[in-house]
Parts: sequence; C-alpha cells; structure tokens
Amino acid sequence: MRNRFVTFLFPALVAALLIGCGGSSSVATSGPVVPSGLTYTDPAGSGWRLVKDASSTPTRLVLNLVGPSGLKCRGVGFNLKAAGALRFVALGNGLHAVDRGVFELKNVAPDPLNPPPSPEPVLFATGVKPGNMLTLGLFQKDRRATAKAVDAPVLTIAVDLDPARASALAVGSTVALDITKARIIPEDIGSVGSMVDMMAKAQMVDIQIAVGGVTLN
Amino acid sequence: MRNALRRAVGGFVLGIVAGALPGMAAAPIPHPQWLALKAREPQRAASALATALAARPAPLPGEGLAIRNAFTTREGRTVVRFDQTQAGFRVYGAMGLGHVEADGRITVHGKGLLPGAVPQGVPSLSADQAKAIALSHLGLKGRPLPPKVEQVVFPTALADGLKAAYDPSTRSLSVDRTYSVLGGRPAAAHVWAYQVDVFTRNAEDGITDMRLIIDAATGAVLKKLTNLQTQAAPEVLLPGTPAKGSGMGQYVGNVTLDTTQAEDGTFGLRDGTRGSLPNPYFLAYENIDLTGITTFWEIHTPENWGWLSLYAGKTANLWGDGFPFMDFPHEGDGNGETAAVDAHFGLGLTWDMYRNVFGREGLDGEGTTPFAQVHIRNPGTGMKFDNAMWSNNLYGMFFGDGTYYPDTTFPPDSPMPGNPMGMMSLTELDIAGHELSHGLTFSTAGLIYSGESGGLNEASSDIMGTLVEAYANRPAGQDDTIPDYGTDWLMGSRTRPSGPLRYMRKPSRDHLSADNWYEGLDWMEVHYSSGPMNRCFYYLAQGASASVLDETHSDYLPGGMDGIGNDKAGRIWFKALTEFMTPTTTYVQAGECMLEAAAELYGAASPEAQAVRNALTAINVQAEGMPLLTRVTFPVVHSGGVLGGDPGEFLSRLKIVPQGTAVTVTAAVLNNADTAITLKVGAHRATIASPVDADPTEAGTVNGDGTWTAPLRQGFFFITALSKARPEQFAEGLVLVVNLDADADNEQDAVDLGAAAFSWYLGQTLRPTHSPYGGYTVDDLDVQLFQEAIQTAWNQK
Repeated sequence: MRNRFVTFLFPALVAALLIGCGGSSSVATSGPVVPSGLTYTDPAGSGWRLVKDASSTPTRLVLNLVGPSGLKCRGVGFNLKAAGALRFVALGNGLHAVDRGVFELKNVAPDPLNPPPSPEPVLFATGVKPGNMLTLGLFQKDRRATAKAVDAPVLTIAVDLDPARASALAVGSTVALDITKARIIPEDIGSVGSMVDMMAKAQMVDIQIAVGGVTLN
Repeated sequence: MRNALRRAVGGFVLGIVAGALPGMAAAPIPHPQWLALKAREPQRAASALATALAARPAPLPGEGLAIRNAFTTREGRTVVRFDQTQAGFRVYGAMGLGHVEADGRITVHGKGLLPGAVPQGVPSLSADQAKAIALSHLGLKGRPLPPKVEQVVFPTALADGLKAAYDPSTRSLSVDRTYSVLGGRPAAAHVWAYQVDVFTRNAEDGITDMRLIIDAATGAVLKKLTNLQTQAAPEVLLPGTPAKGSGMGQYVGNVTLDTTQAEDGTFGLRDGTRGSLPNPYFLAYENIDLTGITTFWEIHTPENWGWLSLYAGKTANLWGDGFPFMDFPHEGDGNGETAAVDAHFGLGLTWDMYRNVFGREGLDGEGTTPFAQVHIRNPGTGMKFDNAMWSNNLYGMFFGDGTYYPDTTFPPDSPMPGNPMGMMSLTELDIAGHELSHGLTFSTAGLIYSGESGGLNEASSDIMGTLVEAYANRPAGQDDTIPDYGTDWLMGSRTRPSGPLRYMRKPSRDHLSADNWYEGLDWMEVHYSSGPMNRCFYYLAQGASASVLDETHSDYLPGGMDGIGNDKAGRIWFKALTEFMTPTTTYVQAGECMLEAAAELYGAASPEAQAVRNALTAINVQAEGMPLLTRVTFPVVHSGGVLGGDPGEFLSRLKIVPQGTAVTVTAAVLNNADTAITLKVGAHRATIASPVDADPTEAGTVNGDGTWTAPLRQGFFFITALSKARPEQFAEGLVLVVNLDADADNEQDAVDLGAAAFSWYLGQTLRPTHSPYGGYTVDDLDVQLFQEAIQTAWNQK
C-alpha cells in the first residue's frame, strides 16, 4: 500500500511543479521511514538451505531447513547468528524450532524389561546464546534407526523483526543472518560389531547451509 | 491444646469417639488387665478401624483403610496402624494410626494419610512382568530368592530421579548411577504400580535386599531402595530345653548366655526364652521353624560358600575365647564363636530392654524371632566386611568381621594388605542394638530409608543402640529403668580403632554428619542426615551447655538446657516412634510426634515436654509453642521429568548448567522482614558442620547480585544461602556443572547433542566427552542433562 501511495504522490508532485511555477503550492515534509517488515530471498542452489515457508508474515520469517536431494543422514545441528534487528521465536515447548518428523528421535526398539523414561528425553534442543546466536540440534540417538532422506523440510525456525532495534536502521537495509557452524551425523556411523570401525566413524560431518538475504522493508 | 483431633489432611478429618477428651496416658496397668486387653486386641483394632472409616467426611469411591498391625502398650493402649487402600490395594507410604485406650476411648490420626490417592485406569502389566522388569534392572549375578510382588497405588511425588552419592574421602558428590532411576515422574499424582522386593543370599551376590516400584502401565522403574539397613511340615531348628551357658566376647567379656540343650545333651546358640513366633524368612523360604533368637555363622569353604551353620553340638556350654577373629577357617571354632557371643548377648539384651523398659515383646510386639549371622563376607571379593546390616525381608542381622589390621603389611595368609583404618568385628553392643532396632522401625513407623525419613530411621537405631549400651550397665535388679550413665554416646567406639563410627553429642566430629536441621539436609546419605536427631536426643537426655567452648553448645539455643535423663528421653522417643510416626515423617513431624509422646507420658505443660521443645529448637527444628524461626529456601527449579523431584526434595532445586556459563542464584528468606542473603559456593565441603565453609577452590565466588560463572570443571557444587539478619539460618542448594562439549571442538552448543548419539547405550563411551558429566556410559540421563543444561543457560524468553 505504501508503495502505491508513493507512486501516486510522485506524478502529483511533478504536475504541481510543472503547473505551478511561481505558484504558492507547497508539500509537507516527513521523517525517515522506520522499517516494519522483513523480506527474505531464498538462497540459490540445491544443497542444505533455509527456505521461506508460506506461513511467513510481513513481520515474521518462517524458514525451513531443507537438505540436498539424494542425501541421507541421522540428524543436523547448526549455529545461526542474527543481527540485532532480528529476534528468534520460541515456537512451542520452549524450543526455537519445530521438528518436522523426518528423523526418528526416540528409542526405536525399547526393551520391554527396561522401558524408556516417560517422557523420553530426545536429542533435540535449542537455545539463544549471547550475541543473538541460535544454537540448535536435532539428532537420532539410536543407531538402530536408519538414516533418513532430507530433501523435505526437516525443521522449521522463525525470526521476528525487533521493532525497537530495527528503528535505527533504514528501510532497504540488509540484516545479517549467518551460519557459523553446521554439522550432520552421516549415514555411515560404523558397524556395531566393530569397535574400531565405530570409533573411526564417530565424527559429525561439517556441512554448508545456504541462507538467503534478509531485507528490512 | 494438644488433642487427638488432627489437622485435616485433604478429605480426611478424623475425630474422636465418645466425648471425653484424652488426657495424659495412664501408668502401666496390672498385668492380668493387660492380658485381657491383649486377648481382645483384634476386636479393639476393628473398632478403631470402624471409627477411622466413619470419621472420613467424603471418602472417594474405593477409598479405604485396612489394619496393618496392632500392639498393646503396658498402659493398655492398643496402637493400630492402618494401610490406606484404594480398591483394596495399599497406597504406598500412607499410614493412619488409631489409639484405643484401656477404657475404650478411641482417637484416630490421619496426618500420615495421602488424600485423593486414586489412580486412573487399570494396570497394563502383570505381576510376573513387573517381576521380570525388576530382575532385569538389578542384573543379579546369581539366583535370588523368590521375589515378593504387590500391586500398590503409588504417589508419584515419592518417585525417585537423579540421585547423588557422597564420597567422604573427597567430600564431594557424584551422580549415583546405581540408585538413580530414569523412569521419569508420571504426570498423574497417583498411578498403579508394583512393589517388587528382590533379595538374595548366594555366593555371587551375597546378601542383598532391594525394593523397586514399577509403573504398572509403562514398566518404568519409579523408585529404588535398599531394604538392607546397615549394624517341611517345617523342620524345627535345634529343639531342646533352655540352658544357661557362658561366653567370652571380644566386647562384652565374660557373660551368661541363654542357649538350648538339645535332646542329645549338646548345646547350641539358640535362645528359646526370647522369640515365640517363627522367623518368617526361614519358615517361608527354608521350611524351617526357627523360634528363639539364634546365632549362625557363614561358611566359607568353596563348596558351601555363603551357607549358614549353627553354633551347636558342643558338649560344654562354653563359647568364645574373647579374642578378635583370626580368619578362615576358624568361623566355627572357639575363636569364631567370640563374635557370636557378642552378637547373641547383644540381641538378647536389646530384646530385654524392649520387654522390661518399654513393655514390648520383640520387634513386632508379638515375639517374632529374628536371627543373627556372623562372619559375613563381601560376595564379590570374598574378603572381610566392614559393616553390619538388618534385612527386612530376611528378618535378621548380619555382622562382618571388619578389615582392621594395625599396619599395612600383609596379614598371614591374606592376599590383601592390612587396613589400619578398617573396623574390627561389628558385633559391639551398641551396633547390635542399632541393627535389631531397624526391625523395630520396620514393624512400626516404617520410616522410608531415604531423605529425612531415612535419617530419622538411622537416628532411631543409633538412639536405641546407645540406650542398650546404657542398659547393660544398669544396677542389679533395676531391669525396668535405663540408667543415666553407662554409655559413651559414641557409636561403635571400640569397633574402629581410628575413631568411632558416629558421635551423638557432636555429630559433625566425623566430618560427614550434620549437627542441625537445614534445607538441603535431605540430600545427605541417611547415616549423616541422622546427625541432628542424634544430637537432639542427647540434648533431651543429657542437656546442652551454655558455654560456646563446649561441644554440646548450640547456636540455636545459646542459653543451654537441662536434660531429663536417658530413661525419660528413651520413653519419649520409643513412644513417638512406635505410636505416632509414619513412613514419610519429616524432622518437623518427628518433633510433633515427640511432643505428643511427652505430653501423654508427662503432661503437655510438664518440664519433660518443655525439654523436648528446647531440644528441637537446639537443632533448629521449629517446635510448637516456640518462637517462629527465620528460614532460607531455594526456589524449585523442576518438578517433573527424568530429573523431577518432590518439591520438598533437594533435587527439585538442583540446577544443571554448562561449565563456564553465567548462573543467577536466588533464595528467599521467610519469617523475617530482612530478606537480605549472603551467597557462597564451594566445590566440596570443608566441614559438614558448617556448609558455609565450603571450599571455594575451583568454584569461584558469587557476586553480590547473585550471579556466578560456573567454573570450567564438571561436577556438583554446593551453593549456600545465609540470612544476613540471622546467619545461623541457611539453606544449601546444588548446581551440577556439566561439560556440553561432546564433540570436543572447544565450544558448547546444541550441535554437541549429535556427539552423544555415537555412544548412546553402547555399553561404554567411544569418547569420554560424549557424556556431559564424564560418565562411563551414555544413556537417557545424559540426554536429559544435555537438554536441561541448554535450557537453563540459553533459554531466551
């Protein structure tokens, strides 16, 4: 709506200037425009990436983590640092992410004689560390669970515009949203029958997660 | 006014029948009258039950009471203990009391009952399935005796979670994986469950006695306790006639022993004059009618390891040589008999004190026979054992020989070096009295063996053991009175050459026990949380000094107090334990029970009752009628989940934080307009007497605003909050600092969760960093610690 207003105003101003040279017409001035929304441009590429979800609103970016086609893994974790104008949103149960159900987080074959605790703790946790950095981990704890394809959204996060902090920035500014660390548990984590094999493969693998551009509007 | 109308507990408001108010308990009644009342005990108990049932204002459907046991005191009161039931099943930890006086007046007490104990649905598991779960959980090496299984209603507030174990050698806490249970507290307040008792006496596991509570819907272990409290037609064992023998004990010296002369003329250590009902374990599991206190020894030949043998078949009724036990194979000869003399004599003397002073026939008031077993060994190593134990399910006592040796050279024929810090035979008189008195508690109050009730359970045995020691020194002919002298107020003072096991006057002298009550006492191991009540009893009996230089001085009662003597103090405690306490009794409630007992025995306004108030005040327990005490309290951090705790338990206040992160510590001050606090933190205790002296090494300091940076070291840290207005009032909390850097990249974050997955339930960690507290394995407890630490440190609201 704002854009339309400006468009209408500009021809009117031009007409006034053209018509009223020496006339007494005047235009009221206004202060700088405060950002009130976010725009996100999905990153290019087909590797790990954060893509915008349709449920996003002008002031809330809802982003899904999607992995590359053809890859299977056992979980993912990353640290995402955001500029001060952005605020990570707690989405439920005090967590800053929603598990999209791709990974099997629980004990897949519980021993009936030693059942899991209730509620069963899972390797899914989030937090916002000092410096406005979201830290997030979502992993399968049970190596008997098979690795899963990740070419559909595996988790969802959300960031809100922080109006107070954004007011110091200009409309059109880009704000930083950077991955500082990202790892997965790979598909092959060694054969249970071989301690040597398991020890050699007990390592997470670094990945790159592409993040799109965030603009204030 | 003290009366029998107890304060309401949920829907239970229990009242008096027949208008007259109860007054002070009468003196002992004539024996024929007592016998008549005893004979009518079942009817009197039934009347009390009817009264209790009728007094409930609005019982829930299926809610009931059932008589657990009853006994009649010398004053003619029949004390009836009720189990609370739901649909006919017992509610764990709940107990009501009924008192039927000699004149028929009935009062009922409901403070040990738990309101609204109605679980939803029905059990999903069978009793056999619960038994299988319990056996699998315990991982026994050998074959247990047939487990006992009982369906119960379990109040989930009593569920266990994370447990901490105290290492006295380092004065620090560690996560106790043996007794931690990961079942998680169910959301419902009450659930169906199975109580499974698993006990062994075999060569592989030795003597064990464990109680597990299994969730009847999920099979999760909700609670785990030890039942061991550490100091055919059936065959009739050793039939014969009573005979007086002579024994030479290591501790008791030359004594007369009550024995049995068998039909063949030989003698055995069976005392047919004490114990008229058979031992339940022997009857049920060995098909043996064991009636009369009997002392056995443990066989250590390879082919019969762990079996019992009778001290019997002797042609002369002479036992023991008075010298410390040499070692295998002397268990059955004159040297081995020495420990049996001490044990057998001690059990008989304790029995006599119960009978002659307190008017009680044995542990249960009915004369059920306990037994003693000496020369028990460590089942794992086969070596001598530095402890003594009572088992509820085996209904007997077990005494180790101790590992003491004057120096660290190798004793003859021993593969292990000597242990100057070890103990000698644990058959000293006060220890024997202590162990047998666990059976008394088991038969009456049933104090649960953890938390504050566990500390009271241990204190009761220390108190009884001390009184037995005094009783042994009574003047001839004064069998119905405990003298004011005759005890050194030191538990096992001759058992361990390096120092007694515990100090009643000043418990903290062992650098392990607490002197006074404070918030946080309940985390302590029960042999240390017994300290305050031990001290309270000493004060009650012997008084407290007004001089700050005296070890009996109390900062909480600086003017001191006069004691009322061992006999009166013992009667008050015995009455409180057997007639008023219940399984979940806390220190404050124990104080109320003591006041009830003192009022009945001596009058509510008597010097004896005031002495009870003074003694309770002297250990910082709020007593009725005394000035309100300032209290300091930490907030509850969590009340559910795997780490959930009863809000009254210390673990509900435990914070889990990643190392190197900022923590804010807060505590509240109650009953004082000045709410300012001082905060201190320590890696371990400098002295247990004063938690505020916790060693700050490696712990850093708490800033004035309550912020503290957790050090770069995993482990438990003690946090103490003191009232600035009343510095003698403090609370102790705990923080568990964990290292989340499971992937060892020098950064703690949620990405580290992935590394834990590599070792999850593998049997051992692939890398030590995979466990946040450096555990040998990684399991769901580690997962929970990760989650909670991240939530605590980086939970942005």
